[in-house]
Formats: sequence, C-alpha cells, structure tokens
Amino acid sequence: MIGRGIWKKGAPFFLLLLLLIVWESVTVLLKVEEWLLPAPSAIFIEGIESSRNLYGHLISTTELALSGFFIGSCIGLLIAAILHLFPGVKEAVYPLLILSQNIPIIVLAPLLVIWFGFGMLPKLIVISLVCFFPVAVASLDGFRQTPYELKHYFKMMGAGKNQLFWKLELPHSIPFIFSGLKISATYSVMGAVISEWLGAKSGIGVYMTLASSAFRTDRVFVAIFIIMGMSLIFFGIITFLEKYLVSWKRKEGEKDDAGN
Amino acid sequence: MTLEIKDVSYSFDGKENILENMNFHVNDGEFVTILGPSGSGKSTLFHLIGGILKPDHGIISLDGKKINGLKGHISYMPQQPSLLPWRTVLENVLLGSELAGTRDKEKANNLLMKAGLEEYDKAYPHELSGGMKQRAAFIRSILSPQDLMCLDEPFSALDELTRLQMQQWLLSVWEENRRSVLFVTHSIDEAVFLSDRIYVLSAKPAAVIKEVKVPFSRPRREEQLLSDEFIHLKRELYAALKPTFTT
Repeated sequence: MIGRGIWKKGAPFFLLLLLLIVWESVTVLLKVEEWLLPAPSAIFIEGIESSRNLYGHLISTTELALSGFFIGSCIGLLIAAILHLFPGVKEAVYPLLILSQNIPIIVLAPLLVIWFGFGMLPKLIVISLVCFFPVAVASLDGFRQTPYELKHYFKMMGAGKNQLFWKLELPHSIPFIFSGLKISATYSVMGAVISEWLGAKSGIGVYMTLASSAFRTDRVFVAIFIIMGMSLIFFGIITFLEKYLVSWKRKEGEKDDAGN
Repeated sequence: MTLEIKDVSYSFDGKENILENMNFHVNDGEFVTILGPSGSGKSTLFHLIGGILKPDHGIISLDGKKINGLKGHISYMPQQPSLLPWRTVLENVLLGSELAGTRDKEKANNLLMKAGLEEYDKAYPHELSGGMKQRAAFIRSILSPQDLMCLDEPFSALDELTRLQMQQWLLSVWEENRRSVLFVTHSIDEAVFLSDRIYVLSAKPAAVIKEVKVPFSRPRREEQLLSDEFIHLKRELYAALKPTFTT
C-alpha cells in the first residue's frame, strides 16, 4: 500500500524523469548538435555554472511577476465586485473583458513601449492584463453562486446591499477567488518574461533573448526550466495560503469523503 | 410587540391572488401559529411581513406602525438552518444581531450553553447534526434584537424524534424570553403543542378560515400530547384543514 501511495504522489515526477532519460538518450544516440538540442545533463551543468549570473535575473523577474500579479489580481477582484454590484455595468463591460484577452500580447507589448517608454509601467500593464482576467471571472462566479437560502435569510433580516456583499457574497466566493489566483500566479511568470523581451536591464526574459541570439540553446533551456520552476513555486504558495485561509472548506470536503 | 395583518391581499401577476383579504394578529408575548397546506402562500406571507414583498392591499403593522415593504423589523428563522459555512457556531449565532448592529457575545455563550452547544462554539456548521444546526439557527433568531420572531417551518426537515425534542427545547427557551412569535407549520401536532392560538389557512388563494385558541397551560408537558382535549382539538383542526386538501 505504501508503494502505491508513493507511486501515486510521485507519478508526475517519475514521468518527468522518464522524459528526461529519453531526451538524454536521443541526443547521445543520434549525436544531435548542441546548438540544436542540448542534452538535459548539459543544460543542468550550464545552469549550475551560470547560477551566479542567473541570480540577479531571477530576482528582478520575481519582483516584476509578483508586483504584476498583485496589481492584476486586485484589479480583477475590483472589476468583479463592480460588475456584480452594478448589473447594468456588467452587461456592457463583460464582453469587453473577454475581448481584452484576445489581444495578442506579443503585438501589444511593443505598442506599450512606444506609448510608455522602457520603464516599469508597460511591463506591469502586460502582466496585469494577463493576470486580472482569471481572478475577475472566478470571483464573479463566486459572487453569483451564493446559495439562495443564505441570501434569503440576509434579505429577510433586512441586510443592505453592503452587508450582503461583505458578510455573505465575498466570504462565500473566497474559494473561487483562489482558483482564479492559482491560474493568475502561473500566468504572471510568463507575463513577466514576455514583458522583459521588450527591453529591460535584467531578468530571465533578457537572459533568454541574449542566449537565443547567441545560439546558446542550452541557456535558453535553462531559462525555460527556471520559468517552469517559478510558476510551480508561485502555484504552491497560493495553494498553501488557500489551505490556511479556507480551512472550513477543506474540513467540509474531508467529511464528504469519509461519508462516501 | 403586536403584529397586525389587516385585509392584506397579494398577487404575483396582478390577476390571481396568492393571499386574499388576510386578517390576523399576534399579541405581545404570544405564540401564534399559522397552519396551512403546502403551497398555501405561507412563505409569501412571511416575505410580506419581512418586507421583501409589498402587499397590493391592506396594512401590515407592528405596534400600530405600518411596515408595508420595510425590512429589518423581524427576527427570522428559515426552514433550512442557513448557517454560514465559513463561520464558527458562535460567530453564526451572532450574525442576526450583527446585521442589526448589536453583538452580545456573553448572551450568545449563555444560550449556547443552554442549548447544549457550549463545546461546539468554535466548530463549523458542517460538524453539527441536523438538530444542532436548527438549535443554532433558533439561538441566532433569539439573539436578533427585533421583538417579533418569525419561524418558517423550522423543524420540517428533521426526523420525528429530533423534532419532538426540538419542540420541547424551543418551548423551554421561549418561555424564559416570551417574545411574540409567529410560527408557520403544516403539522397539526406541532401547532397544538406549541401555540397559544392557531390560524388555519385555506389553499389558493390563502385566507384565514378558522381561529382556534389552545387552552393548555404553560409550561407545556408531553402528557398533554395524549390527552382527550388534545385529540379533540386535533380533530377540529383536521376537519378545518380537510377541504383544503382537494386543491
């Protein structure tokens, strides 16, 4: 049984390991050129060797991603609250929100640089634009799905719109908001890297551009793995916060599992 | 606090009346039950008293003050416990008073103790049984500062035994407080056991077709449930309700 447990929990890890082994063997057996596709071991060694150099890049990307994520999520939550509290606004604005996600970021980014220069602002706009949407949609769903009988109790007790929102709809939607935050957290790293391509002094995006124009494919892969790692860590932090803040929901779920 | 419902009519679409010329009252400190078949507009009646709906005709007044369409004047206990799953039991029972702007933690703890819930004050609602949830919901409505309590079939989802226990418990708590209570049910036994007076409603459109005084003294005892007088009253109420079954 213990073996099964390890297998179940470690399944993604084992799969990844297998892929890496296949990759390594293919590059060795077929003698693939290093600038075309470096072996995982070569990528790993390169990562260790340039770790000192990478550290600075990592810090600035993390800062950028975190601030963009924070701003984007706040905007998302705010938009959701406004749309929920003013249904008239919702009808007009909601389609535009969906359209905002259809703008190709790669095309928008250079435009933002033309408008706002090379500073932080265009980068934060790019990340926020990517991050606000999942939070907004998830929160809206949470507000809307507040159980009827609870709403009815609040109304019968004479609760106003304010009380209804702060004491019922908002706390009820916290698990929903966290679902949105998890998606946004992973997007924020991607957003940060893309925004760094526009021109920045440091950051994983900068490191990546330099590496690819120098045909240092191994470094490009180092950057890719770092981005993946960062996304995973961000996701993990949000999941941890969720467990801590929505503990009532978790216990409720455990009880349901026991009942089945 | 006295509640008076005078010539109240209401319809959803302006054509077919749900309530028609309804007249009744609840005196200060009195336990009054509305007994009616399901679908007889009992919930609509509560929505009108709660101010969510406005009557087409007539006057709803509390102590002579008209409250047509005004919210926040009653303490309400719904059919479902409607406890907030993210709040502890203590925070839940305080919700009604919190909405009205008065929180009394000490009183809440006292009442929880009387309800045998003192060990559950920090528990979440999903950890409670059905009866415990309803007790918490009743405490919440007692802690709400409004003088009139409206209870909407609060025990209809419970099993027979729990229900009997809950009725006795409710009476014991209420007899200490003696607030005006308007209770809605479709159970004849429950109506007779709990109330001072009973109004029988007709099915669509709902109107009061009979008023019955319950002569039993308080505090009520279980034995009264089996007395001749009780059976007689039950028969009388059943006879009044029977014509409403056909619709």
